[in-house]
Amino acid sequence: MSKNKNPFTFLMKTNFKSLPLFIVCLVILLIASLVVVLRVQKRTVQREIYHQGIKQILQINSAGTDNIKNKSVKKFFKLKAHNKYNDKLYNFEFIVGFDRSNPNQEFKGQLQGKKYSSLHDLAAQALAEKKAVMQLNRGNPPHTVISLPLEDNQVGIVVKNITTRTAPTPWLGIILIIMLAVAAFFLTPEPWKIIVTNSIGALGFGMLASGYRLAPHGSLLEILGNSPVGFTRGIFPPIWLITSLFFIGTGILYQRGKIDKLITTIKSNRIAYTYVLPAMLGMGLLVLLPFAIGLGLGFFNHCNGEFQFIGIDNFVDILSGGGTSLGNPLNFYFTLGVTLLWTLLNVFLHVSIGLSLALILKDPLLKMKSVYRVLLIIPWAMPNYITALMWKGMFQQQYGAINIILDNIGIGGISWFSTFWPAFMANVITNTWLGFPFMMVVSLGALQSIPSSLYEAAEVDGASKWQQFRNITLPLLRPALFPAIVLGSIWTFNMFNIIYLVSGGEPGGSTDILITEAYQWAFKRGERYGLAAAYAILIFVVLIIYTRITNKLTKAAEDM
Amino acid sequence: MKQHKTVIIIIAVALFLAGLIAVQTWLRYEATEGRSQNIVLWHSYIGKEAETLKKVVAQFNNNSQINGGFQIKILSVSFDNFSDKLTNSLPRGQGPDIFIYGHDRLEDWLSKEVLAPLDYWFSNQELKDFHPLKALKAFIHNKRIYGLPLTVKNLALFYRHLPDGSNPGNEITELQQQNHWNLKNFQQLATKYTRSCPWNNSIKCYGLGYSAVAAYQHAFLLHGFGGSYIKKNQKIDLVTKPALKAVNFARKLAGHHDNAVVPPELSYSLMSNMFKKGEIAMVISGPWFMSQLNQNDFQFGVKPLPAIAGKPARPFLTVEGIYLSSKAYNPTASIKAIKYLIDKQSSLIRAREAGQLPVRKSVIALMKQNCRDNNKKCIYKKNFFDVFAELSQETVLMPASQEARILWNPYSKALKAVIERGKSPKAALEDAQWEIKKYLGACIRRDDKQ
Amino acid sequence: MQGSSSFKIIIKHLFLIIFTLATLYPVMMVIRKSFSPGNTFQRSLNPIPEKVTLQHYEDVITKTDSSGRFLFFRQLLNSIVVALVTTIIGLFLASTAAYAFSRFRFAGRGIGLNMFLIVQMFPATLLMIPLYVIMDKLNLLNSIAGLVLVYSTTAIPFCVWMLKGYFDTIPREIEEAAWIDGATRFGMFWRVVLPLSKPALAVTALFSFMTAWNEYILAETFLNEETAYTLPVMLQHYVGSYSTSWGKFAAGSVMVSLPVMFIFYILQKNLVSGLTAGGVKG
Repeated sequence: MSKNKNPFTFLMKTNFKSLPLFIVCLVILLIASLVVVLRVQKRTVQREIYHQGIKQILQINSAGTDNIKNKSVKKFFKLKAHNKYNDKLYNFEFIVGFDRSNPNQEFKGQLQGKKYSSLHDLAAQALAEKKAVMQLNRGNPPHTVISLPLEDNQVGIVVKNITTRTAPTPWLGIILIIMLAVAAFFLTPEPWKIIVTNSIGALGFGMLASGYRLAPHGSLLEILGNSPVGFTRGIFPPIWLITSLFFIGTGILYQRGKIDKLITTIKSNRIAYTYVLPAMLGMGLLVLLPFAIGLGLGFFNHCNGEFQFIGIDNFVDILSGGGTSLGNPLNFYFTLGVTLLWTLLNVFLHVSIGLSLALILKDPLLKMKSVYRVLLIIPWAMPNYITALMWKGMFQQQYGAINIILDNIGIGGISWFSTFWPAFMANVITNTWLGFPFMMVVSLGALQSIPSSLYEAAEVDGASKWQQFRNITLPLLRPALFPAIVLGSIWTFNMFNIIYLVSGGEPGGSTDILITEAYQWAFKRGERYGLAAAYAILIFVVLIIYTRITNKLTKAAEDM
Repeated sequence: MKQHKTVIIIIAVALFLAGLIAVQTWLRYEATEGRSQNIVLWHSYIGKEAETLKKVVAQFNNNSQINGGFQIKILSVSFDNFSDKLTNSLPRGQGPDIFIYGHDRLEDWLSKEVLAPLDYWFSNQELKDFHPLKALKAFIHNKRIYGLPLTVKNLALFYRHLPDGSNPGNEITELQQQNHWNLKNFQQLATKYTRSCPWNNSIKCYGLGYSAVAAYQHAFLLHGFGGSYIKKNQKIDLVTKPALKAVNFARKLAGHHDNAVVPPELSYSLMSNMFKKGEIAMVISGPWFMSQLNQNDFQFGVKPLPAIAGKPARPFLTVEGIYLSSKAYNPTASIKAIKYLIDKQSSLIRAREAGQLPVRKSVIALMKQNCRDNNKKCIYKKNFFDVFAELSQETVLMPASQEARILWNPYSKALKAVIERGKSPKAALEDAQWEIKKYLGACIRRDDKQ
Repeated sequence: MQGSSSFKIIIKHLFLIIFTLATLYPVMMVIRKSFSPGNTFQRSLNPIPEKVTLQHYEDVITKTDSSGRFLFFRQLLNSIVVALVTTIIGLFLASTAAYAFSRFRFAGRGIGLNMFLIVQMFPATLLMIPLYVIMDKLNLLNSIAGLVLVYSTTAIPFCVWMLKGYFDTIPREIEEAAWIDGATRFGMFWRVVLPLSKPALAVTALFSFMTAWNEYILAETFLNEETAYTLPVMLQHYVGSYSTSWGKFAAGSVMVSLPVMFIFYILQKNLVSGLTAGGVKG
């Protein structure tokens, strides 16, 4: 940092090292401002035309079509509604018709033919909803149609050219902010340059955008722009929030010298980054971006296509149980418990069956090993939705093979999906069938890597088979098996298809696991996308905690 | 040498793959050629109804006088995915021009602006030709029509001649004549036919088959006892006396106990399976059930559901409609296609091949005429359309509001809890009521704030 | 380890035979269904069909759209193209990224690796709606290319982890020798590391292939034409809440499963070493 007391000497000594970064930030600021400004302008246009159109309809309605002065009116119609289909629908008849391009054309009688269908639609909509309706038509030239219900079942319709004055772009405001930022760039000492300029930019941007809403007509603030609608709605707050956070974030990083470091490492590891880049690009676009949107959705509420920000309400709702008792399948903790049990049981069965088979198949004297191996891998190769439907058929009460077998051995068939435990076990059996081959293959590979000399030595020492297993096989398997178990449990935790297609949550949603529960909220229970996203985030958090713990455990095991 | 071999293999694989991609691309191009002359039609039919639709559409496509140079292209979308796919893709210009679906999603789709009104295109005469008045009414919203009925579906009672020669149909006819065809006698009849099958003692036969746990099928009981799922003001009050009575009765019929007359865990395919084998004597199902049966295999018939509390049973009526998309590429041509699909010729084919009940007076008249002349073409009586047409008068139009859409799952869940697990009806319905409130939560919250 | 006595071997064979039969029993029932006429269920445990018919296969294969195009072959071709191209792109993306993660120490390496692990934990079903919007913006809806892109990126995280683990086990000395012989970075990767990692590459390929071959939810959501559908979507359409064509579903299932099983069969040797040698090691 400079020791110089005179602030103006910074001007001479300005360091241009951070200029590129500054320019990047400036460009982003400019783009963000223009996005906001253009959006607001578009809305202004629509709203002004709307009000103008209504005014004109009323005017022409009282004054008649003979002297329509305003050149922006292309056509004007007055229609009267008659009832058709036993009073349930409208039929329209021309009362007045005016077309500037063809003043002699007569409009009489019923609306008929292809060309009047949109006229009919607008008139009927206005009449039925009892309010003015506007439709933008992107023809050439672009025009707008506005229809307004009048007294006595009549509708006035005006077709207008779009000639309305748009709200001026607040260049003054934008230039002002940029100048301020440039001045700050020169006046602030390094390493504070970027954070100060960016803060000014973010603040100015916010003022600019809100100026759009706040400025009353004719006030001094209007030089920052004027608009009746604005900033606190729609996409503006997120845009402002994101740009501001980004600006201040880069400022802080820069101040701490992180950006410099980043640039030098990128330069020195150029090859590495080129190798990673293709995968990262694809991932960023098609995995991380949806993922980020998914995370964001968790803080919104969805109703009929509209999203509303509600903070952490979704999480509060889920984590507090949402007014359900612990025994209710809709309760988060109940579902979490089922999910954990499901995962544990499955992974235990996968590993124990897979490992046992691997131990049997390992025997060097056993012939036809590869035949068994190939056949036993088949469940893994089957597409899992086929597996699920196949097993659902096996558990069918009347004709399912399992109940027939149970009948034949005298136990009697079970109604698999009407109580919790059988339904849960049906899911587990299906998923175990599907999952043990993976563990078998992993165990086979791991067993191959254990040198047989160890067993020979143990044999010489007189160790029993069990001792050999405990003291040689298990410890040496661990490094290969542990990651497979972690991965397997993540897969099982999110195993959507089996639960959804086998038990479908039956009975009463109690066998739903977290992921199917989230799916239900999103697609089956009133499209609560926000709540579903919150569930997904919680799944994510649980899994992260789980991997953290297992990582620690592996580390501890390795240290031993 | 080895290097060469690898290179050759790589080139060969690349060429093969390029060839595959080229063929695939060419085929796709060939299939999508002339898109501007296509009308895209989505549906979720399967089995016979899908086949029939394909046939009807092929006729349209081959007749240049009707189609005016346009071709209908069909896409079958799975039933579960239909609405989501539609509301996702339509606003982005990816959806169909016209589509076929039940009327029960109407309000949802209107709020998402995927439907275009049709009333302008149809004259008073054409509209008045639609037969059960309710059918067209289902598509009217704010004095506009957003779809036209293709067919209606409602429940009736199927019976069959059993392998041992007995026939519940005779007994029903007798009861009908004495005016005693009511719920009590119905239950007795079903109980009578619930026994170990006379032709194979190791198998249990049942008197009745119906999806007792589905809110849709349960409706005739609920309405019969004087209840309704949704009140006129769209409020939902599930825990009412009629509702409890209806649920109790459903449990008597289908619960997991010894006196049940309905097989446990009855799925639709299992039901038709058992009915075909004679292991179920009577089945409550809709006209679609007929397309799976064949009079040559065994004799069967259709009767109205029993009267409840002195009034005819009132099951739900669902209307399958054809809709015009708000983003239709060429609305005029699409309207032509719609007119063809609801027209006489297509209605007749759809009725004959897929058992779809005709919904136009002119078509019904023609079919009746065919039957009077003792024509071979007579399908109206033979397919029991007369019974269904009469029954469709005494129905309740399935509600299509947002609330209703959310209601079915929790209600069916409650029914399941009562019937399969013996939960108390009151508690089950209270749970359902609470659940629905929760499902609607997202929207209620907004209303409160406004 | 010394071998077991012949008695033990017989016991092991017996156990394995019984276990294998039990495992394959459901599959045999599906095969039985696919060859049995009609759609009715039989209360029977016999996995061999009483009457054999190829009707279901014929029905599935000869299904046409309203213009008389054979759908099965088109959908099969779509599936093959999607799966193969996904495999190749997936292999390319995953192996390059895994190589960088294995051989370089660069800023963001830890974050990157963790990210690849973490994204697997977020339920994919719920990413559908955002993904749909993104695909729309990229103009990739209703196209096979879009589907390939989505599949290859969803398969990447697992593949990167697996390949990185395997690359870690290849001694750097081999590369250094190649370096001294004048090989470039890419040459080392292409000529030295990749040939040594065949088993792991095989497993990666298998995974990418399976992801693309078996997926149906995204495919049905993104594709809007029957001639563009992949086989699993077609298969799903035989299952409806009302009438399910079990026979056709079974026949279709057999035909859809066979290619994957065949590939498993070819790659099974690699599977064992590929998955474990460095395998899923973190």
